[in-house]
Amino acid sequence: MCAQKYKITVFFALVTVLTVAFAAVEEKPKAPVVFVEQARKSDLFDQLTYPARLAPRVNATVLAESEGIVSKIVAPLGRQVARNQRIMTIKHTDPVYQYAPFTVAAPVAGIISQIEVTEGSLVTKGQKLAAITDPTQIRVLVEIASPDLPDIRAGLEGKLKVVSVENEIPVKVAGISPTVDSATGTATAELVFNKSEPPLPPGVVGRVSFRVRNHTGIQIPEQAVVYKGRDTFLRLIHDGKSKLTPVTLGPSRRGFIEVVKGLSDGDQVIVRASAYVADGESVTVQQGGSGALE
Amino acid sequence: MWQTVSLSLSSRVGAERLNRIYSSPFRVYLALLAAAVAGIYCGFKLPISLYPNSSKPTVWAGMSYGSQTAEEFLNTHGSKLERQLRGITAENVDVERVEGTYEPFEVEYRIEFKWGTDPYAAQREVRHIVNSFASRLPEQSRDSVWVWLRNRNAGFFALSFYSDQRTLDNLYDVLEPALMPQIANVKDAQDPMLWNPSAKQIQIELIPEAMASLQLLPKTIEDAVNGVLMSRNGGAVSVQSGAQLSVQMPRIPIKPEDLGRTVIPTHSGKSIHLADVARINFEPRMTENQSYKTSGTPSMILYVTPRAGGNVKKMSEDILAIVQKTMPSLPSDIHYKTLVDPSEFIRSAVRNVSHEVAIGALLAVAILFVFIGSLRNVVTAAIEIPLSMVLAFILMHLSGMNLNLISLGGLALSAGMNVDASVVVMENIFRHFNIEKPKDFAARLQLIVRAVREVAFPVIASTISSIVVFLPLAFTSDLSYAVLGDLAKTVVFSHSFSAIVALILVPTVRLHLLSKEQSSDHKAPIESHLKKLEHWYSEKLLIFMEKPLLKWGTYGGLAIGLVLLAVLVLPRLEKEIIGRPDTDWIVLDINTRTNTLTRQMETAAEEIEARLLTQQGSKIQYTFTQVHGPNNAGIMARLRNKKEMRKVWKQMEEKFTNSPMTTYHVQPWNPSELPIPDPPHLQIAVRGGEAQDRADIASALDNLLEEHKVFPRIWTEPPASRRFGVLIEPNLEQWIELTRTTKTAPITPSDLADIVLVATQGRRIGHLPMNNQLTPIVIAYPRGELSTYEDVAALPLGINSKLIPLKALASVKLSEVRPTIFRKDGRELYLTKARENMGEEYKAKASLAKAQVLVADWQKTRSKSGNSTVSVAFEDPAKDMNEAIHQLGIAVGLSVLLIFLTLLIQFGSVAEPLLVLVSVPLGFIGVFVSLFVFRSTLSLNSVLGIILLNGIAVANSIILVDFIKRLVGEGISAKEAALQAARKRLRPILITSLTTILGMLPVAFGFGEGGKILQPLGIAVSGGLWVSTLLTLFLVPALHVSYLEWCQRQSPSERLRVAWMAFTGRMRRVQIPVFLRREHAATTREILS
Repeated sequence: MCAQKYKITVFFALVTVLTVAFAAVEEKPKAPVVFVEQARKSDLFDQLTYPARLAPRVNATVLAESEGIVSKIVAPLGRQVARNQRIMTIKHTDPVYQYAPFTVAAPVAGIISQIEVTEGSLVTKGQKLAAITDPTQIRVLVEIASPDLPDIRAGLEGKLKVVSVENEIPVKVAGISPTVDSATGTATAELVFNKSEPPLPPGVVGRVSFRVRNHTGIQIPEQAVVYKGRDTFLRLIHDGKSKLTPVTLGPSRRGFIEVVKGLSDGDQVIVRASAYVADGESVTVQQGGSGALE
Repeated sequence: MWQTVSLSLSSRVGAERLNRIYSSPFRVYLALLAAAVAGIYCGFKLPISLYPNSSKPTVWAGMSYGSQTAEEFLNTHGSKLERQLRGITAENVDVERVEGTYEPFEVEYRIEFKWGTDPYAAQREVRHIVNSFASRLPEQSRDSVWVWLRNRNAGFFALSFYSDQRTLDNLYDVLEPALMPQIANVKDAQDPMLWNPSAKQIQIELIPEAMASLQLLPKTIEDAVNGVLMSRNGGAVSVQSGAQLSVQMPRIPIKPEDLGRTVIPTHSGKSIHLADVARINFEPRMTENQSYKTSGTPSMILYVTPRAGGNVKKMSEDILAIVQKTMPSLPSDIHYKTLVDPSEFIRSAVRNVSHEVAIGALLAVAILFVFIGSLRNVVTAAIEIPLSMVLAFILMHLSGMNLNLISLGGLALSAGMNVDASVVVMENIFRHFNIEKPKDFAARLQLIVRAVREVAFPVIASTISSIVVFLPLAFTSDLSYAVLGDLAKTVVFSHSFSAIVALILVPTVRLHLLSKEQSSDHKAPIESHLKKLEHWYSEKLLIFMEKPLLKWGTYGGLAIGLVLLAVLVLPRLEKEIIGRPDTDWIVLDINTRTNTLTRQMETAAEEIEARLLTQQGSKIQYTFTQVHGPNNAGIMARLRNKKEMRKVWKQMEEKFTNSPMTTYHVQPWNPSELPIPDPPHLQIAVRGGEAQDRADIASALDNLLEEHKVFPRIWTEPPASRRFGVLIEPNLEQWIELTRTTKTAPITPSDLADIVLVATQGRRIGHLPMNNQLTPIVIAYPRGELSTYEDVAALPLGINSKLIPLKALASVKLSEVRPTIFRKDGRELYLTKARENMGEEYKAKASLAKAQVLVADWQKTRSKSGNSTVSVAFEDPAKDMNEAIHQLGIAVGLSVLLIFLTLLIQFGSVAEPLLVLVSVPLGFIGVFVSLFVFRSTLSLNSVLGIILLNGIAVANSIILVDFIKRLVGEGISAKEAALQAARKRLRPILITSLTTILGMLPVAFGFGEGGKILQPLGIAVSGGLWVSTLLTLFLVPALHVSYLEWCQRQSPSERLRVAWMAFTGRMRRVQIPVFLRREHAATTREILS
């Protein structure tokens, strides 16, 4: 009987010990796995983008010099003409000129892009007859919003993107109108191609982007920033541990944000983590996965 | 009623009536047979569903803002609508809570109603308010209004269809006409839906620069497209013959390609085709960018919810039958898999409960056989189990109940209890037979009537005690009543019938059988052991009574033990509302961060699924993958064996660990879980002050808890972290100039917003009927055009033949915005919530305490630093649950009081009921210990188990106390009476207790579907009862003897004074019905003479 009791006591003691042991061996939470980015000084810039329209540099309008009837159109729409080449013949209707025919010549070389009259049309003096465009010489017209005007100067290089051309085409600001259109709030800027002009027809629309306000600085992926109330922080790695560091942020650009103060070259910044990283917590750095720097 | 029964049974008139009943067996059989047939009929008529009908409906409603912002909508419409929803008043429709979540583009309202509200009435009221409100809204919002009711009690039915040889669209075209018309006719099926995730839309992809250079606005395109989409009626021409020719102008675009021919007028006077400024695509809907896969094959879902109160089992079976019948006529490459089939669950639950009933009944019968002997007698006693159940069906039918897991559980529980009454009656009859051995019918009849009347009192008293305990349940919270009401009702119904059957059928059968039998001599198989046991017991009882040290030591020890258990063990028990049933579905939730296309997620999910299958393939039947968006997917895997759930779960958690780019969450999923609230473990509300302060405080709070890793999962609703948005502010001065100088129709600020909306999201402008379906038409800018706010600023506009950027007319900047506004009962607030991982809920209490300390410290520094009016308050997220358990605790107390009152009336004195009640705290000891040892929980069910136990446990002491009292009344000394009673009553006590304990064992083991739900109940009752029985056998006679001896020492008047002093003045006024006492005494004398 006594032995029985003893056994039971031992059994209960064992159970207690085991329960306590199991409770104690409770697994420790694993260190969070993090992606780290090294802070590096780099050239930073703001990007300004504008819709752009390709316009012919040469677009001459041919007007009637005097009243008459169009007797013959020599160069129809789309015909390539040389300078001073005859486009059409107009017969005077004024008896003073004895109904003599006179020739309308191309003021510039190019392609007839518009013909406003037909043979037999009666035209008055100064009436628009045709337009000649030189498709090989094109310029890019961009309307610059007034707040951006201080940043855009003649000579500024930009990139043109049009749907039909895969690569961006380098362009350069040739000049800007000094006045702002009060209706649109923009000033027109004329851009020229840096290298050879691409075979694009005038009238094509696209987009031009400029890099302005170039400077050196550090920028980090936006998701690395920790916000606490009004304050901003970054998690840096010191000796394998995370350290919450206050920083001052600058402008944000395409998923990246400039750090104005608080971060120095070479600092290791936690960009993403598998779990919440507490201040001072040990972390495991995962190699290979960068914070998606382009 | 029971008074009359007990009265009539013990009176002379009653004796004659009993004579009449018992001597005409066939009349009794016929009456019971008729009742049984009625019961079976009612049983078949009972609707079968997963859970009780009582529901707490929640209705969702929502709409998009169109061109308004969230704040604008909230101020102009939202708050008014909320007020109207809160004010819903109709018969049986009570609103409990209205929550509004204002997302950036749309709002969702959640209207929670009180328990017992008719879900359809609730939905009707909400729909009525929302629809009448919608008439005030702008057109775009008006069209987007929806109201939805999810009846969670009933579950839902879902199948996935797939084919590896055809596209989903093709599959849809095959399945829809073949299945849906039939399924729509299934009874109780509500809104059957065959959902094709690849449903297409017509996308008019505008070319931004072309639009701008032609100075076209999206609304111009919209008007032009809608102009050609309509077919028009031109009346009819009556022809001379009398016939009529109808005149119609059909719509022009019949096919999506035709839309490109829509003519668009431009400002220059030239007209162009839509195709000149846009590409027309026919592609999957952008907004519903999801995909489903069954074992890797793209699938579509058939989803059906049942009507409230409908027969879910029948509905699911009917739909499945339709699918099975139709499948052979469909191409053989089309397959389907069951995702959720409530009928499967119900079927196995019913099967399981019937097994439990059968096992319980078999065990009970085995006990009977062991104790009584004759197989025939055992069988006749065992008839009572199914008979009282079948009879209970009648009352269930009349009270509008249905057969569900809970009410079936009630039947399983009462299986063991139901033989008790019969056993007591039968045992007593046998005892008398063995003593007297009557020769003729009249003598037998006399003997049986006497035997019945002898035990009628304890039988009725104990039955009433075990029923009366459920009364307080009716006054507990809605939650516990909703969960447990059906269980209590079933137990009450079947148990009351068991008493009636025991007093009527059992003696009749006995008399009938004994009249035919020659020998009435029964020997139990363990007769000799029983004799020895009886001897041993009375010996030990004598020792116990005669050794004051042992006696008082035991009393003291037990009292201390009970207090210790209540103080130390009880608070440690994990609390829950109700156990979770096992499931064979496990879900792996995947969240990524940087994907932009749904296709990327699909590929990722495929890889993860492959990993899962190589790892656990042998244990998985099939998988079902849902891709919800570019960064979220879930892989559901159906296991071959439910028992492997824990193992698979653990292994999956180990394999799929979070990485910086992907987070996983593994959790079992049970589509047929009881729809009770599943609150978080921590909830802190941030209210008051300015919106920005509130957000800052909430995010700081979130950070604080995260920083200390108080809980594994912490989140804030709505997200309080900083969110940035693009703000477009028109330059007002310039706008005036623009309007003055523009020659053509001027552009307005709302045009600007519209262009941005079309550029970012796209806008639905109409529908084109195709293949009997309306295909939406959407105008949008090419996708992927806009990736930052600078792109928004550069959107081209055409003004006065100039191509200008949007930023020329408005300032575009990145700014902090409020992403989501969450309002609860008309107040904006943030809720920071946290919870433990599933399966680790026991840690919650400690974590919560830690959080409270942390937050209290933080509050101190916060109040020092500023004068913010924002309040931070811990809320009890499990308020409903705690309240329910608390109220059940009161119900336990009330039930004990009720037992006492019942006994008081029956015994006619105060002392005996108190003696009887001693077995109740003894039962508590067993309950606490067994709940703790078996790691069970303090849930609604285990508390119900305690209530049930109270009712059963007193039965044992009633038998003892009643017998001792009777013997003492005959002049036998107290101690002798106790010993005699112990010897003679040991057998019925053991039989009834063992049948109940063993009958509930299957429930306590919690086998099969839904077994886990009632497990704590089974553990509480069987664990508590055996401890209670064991201790009652010693304590109650000993205490009774002490009491009687003490009485003898005191003079009667002194005795009365002392005894009554102990009770309140009210108690003193209780008049003991004199006739009862006299009658009772007379009967006892009569029996013994």
